[in-house]
Amino acid sequence: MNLLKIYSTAIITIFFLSCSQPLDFEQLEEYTIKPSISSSLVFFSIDASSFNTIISGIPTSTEVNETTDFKLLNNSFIKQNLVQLDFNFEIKNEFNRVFLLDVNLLDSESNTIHKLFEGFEISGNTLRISEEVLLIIEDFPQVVNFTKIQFIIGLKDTTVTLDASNLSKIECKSSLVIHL
Amino acid sequence: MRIIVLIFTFLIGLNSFSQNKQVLYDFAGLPQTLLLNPGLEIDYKFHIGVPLLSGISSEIGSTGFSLSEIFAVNNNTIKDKISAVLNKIDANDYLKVNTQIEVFSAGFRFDNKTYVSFGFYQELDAIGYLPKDALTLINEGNTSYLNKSFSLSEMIYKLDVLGVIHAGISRKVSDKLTLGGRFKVYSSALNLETTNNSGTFTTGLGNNNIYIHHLDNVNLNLRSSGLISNNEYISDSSTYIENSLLGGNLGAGIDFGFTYHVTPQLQFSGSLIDFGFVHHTKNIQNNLIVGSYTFEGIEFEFDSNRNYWQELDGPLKKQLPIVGNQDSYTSWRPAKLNAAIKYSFGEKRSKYCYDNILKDFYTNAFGAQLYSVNRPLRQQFALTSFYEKSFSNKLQAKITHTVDGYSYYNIGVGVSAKIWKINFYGILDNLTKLSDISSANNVSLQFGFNLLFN
Repeated sequence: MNLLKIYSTAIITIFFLSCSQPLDFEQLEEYTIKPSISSSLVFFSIDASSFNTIISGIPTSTEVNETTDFKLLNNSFIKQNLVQLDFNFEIKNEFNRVFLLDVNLLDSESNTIHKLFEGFEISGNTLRISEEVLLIIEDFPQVVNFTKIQFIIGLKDTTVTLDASNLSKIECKSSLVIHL
Repeated sequence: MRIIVLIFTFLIGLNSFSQNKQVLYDFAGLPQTLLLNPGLEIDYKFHIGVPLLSGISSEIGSTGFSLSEIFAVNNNTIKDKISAVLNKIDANDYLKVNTQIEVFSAGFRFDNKTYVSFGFYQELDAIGYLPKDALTLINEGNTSYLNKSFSLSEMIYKLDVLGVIHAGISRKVSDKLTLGGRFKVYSSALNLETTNNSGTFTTGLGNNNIYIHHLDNVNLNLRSSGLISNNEYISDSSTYIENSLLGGNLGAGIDFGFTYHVTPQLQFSGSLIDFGFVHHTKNIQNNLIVGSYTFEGIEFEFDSNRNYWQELDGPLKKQLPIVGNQDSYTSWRPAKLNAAIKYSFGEKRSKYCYDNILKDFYTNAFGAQLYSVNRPLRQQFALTSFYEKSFSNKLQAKITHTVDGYSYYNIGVGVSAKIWKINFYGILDNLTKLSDISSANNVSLQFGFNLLFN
């Protein structure tokens, strides 16, 4: 400790013998990093068989539903500094049918905390639909708790089933941009 | 990021008060010059360094930016200033810290031709190259950098805290030639290092999904010794001090040096310092990350009840494992090379040396010195020209001009004075920046007290 004192005294002495232009170290308090982190999210490609089932021997249209954990936000630094989330979707529908898409953000208890899409119509024979959903955290503070994402997709007109021999597909790609 | 900036700031701030040893090299016959060249000529009978005060030095420098570029009070915002610095630096820029404190030093004349010196000093030596890609990724993210490969190879740092016990001999083998050597035992209290890393992180447009992320050919090797014991960080500072006193990881090194008089006025000298290593065997924690991994997103298989997130974890750990081990390793000391040519001229005077022997000396000298130090990325060089003046045999001064990685106009000055048996020396460089030290990349300081006996 004595050594440290001697050394510090010498250094401080030199400091006061020299000059410096005015410096403001408190500027650092105003500085926060603002990265935008792009990440792939969910993608899928599904065919006609996924939307048909047989109930009591009768072909019936149905919807498909899938959920996954997505824990990139499950970090105290990100939660505290999150400013905005941008969800991007690219959808291709080769069927000559209209589909409805729900995309929900869920918390760790699988409670829905935000609906990105609710009954979003995917027109038939559409080779590319691009959709972007921007969530400003100040407006949707509960979104920081999202740790799961759920996709539900089904035919709009459930009275007519898809032809099981139809080779068409419906494809979806998605990504997330995390703005801190 | 704030912490990183704060650490950088602290280091650059210290930079304003550090030293340049080129001024000390072969200056005024000081005992401390023997640590830069054990083959230099010593004229006294014995010396004792004032404990803890005989040699205090630190050299802290940065390339690429200075303190004032971030903290100057002007109309630019801190964000703009940090962005400007991040744009300005490249992966060859670095922060460097070297501090030595002599705990004790002494020496004595063994015979007319031989001088023996020994001592113990503690040293902190650190260098960290600025990983521009990683800093950019942390600061801005990957969104604006699609298809850019962020390099992991820029991550290079090395930090040593160690104690050095040394003993050396300087022997005049002829009227013209003096040779010297020094043996050192290193006791490392702390070593952190990573070098020779490789790998890239790239985000591009995917085929199956919007983006695809690649971690390619990653090979990171983060080594540490003296930091972690029994899976816990060593936080007791006394442990580090004890480990620097032969309680740590041990190593050995040697210094060589010579002085050769072509004529009574023309002299060559040179030295190789810290040619040695530390073998780390205690309190080691190494982490290796080797492999490649590609992530294109989570592919849904509807109504499957799969745990996709957990499924990602397995391949990640398999393809890009983080492996910890306690394997011993060897760390080389940063070897330094000194070379100098010195021409003495002016009034010829005599002074009493050991045992009242008279020795002639010239009151003026000029010359040039080359300094080089082995660093992880590449050798670093400094070229110094100097003028030395003896106002009397008790008062000498030296002025230097150094060209190095920090600047082309580093002016340094050193003064050595002797009152009775007490010698004081002080060295300061980058004098042109003293009026605004915050804009300096490298300013240095060294001073000490010795007792010299003829």
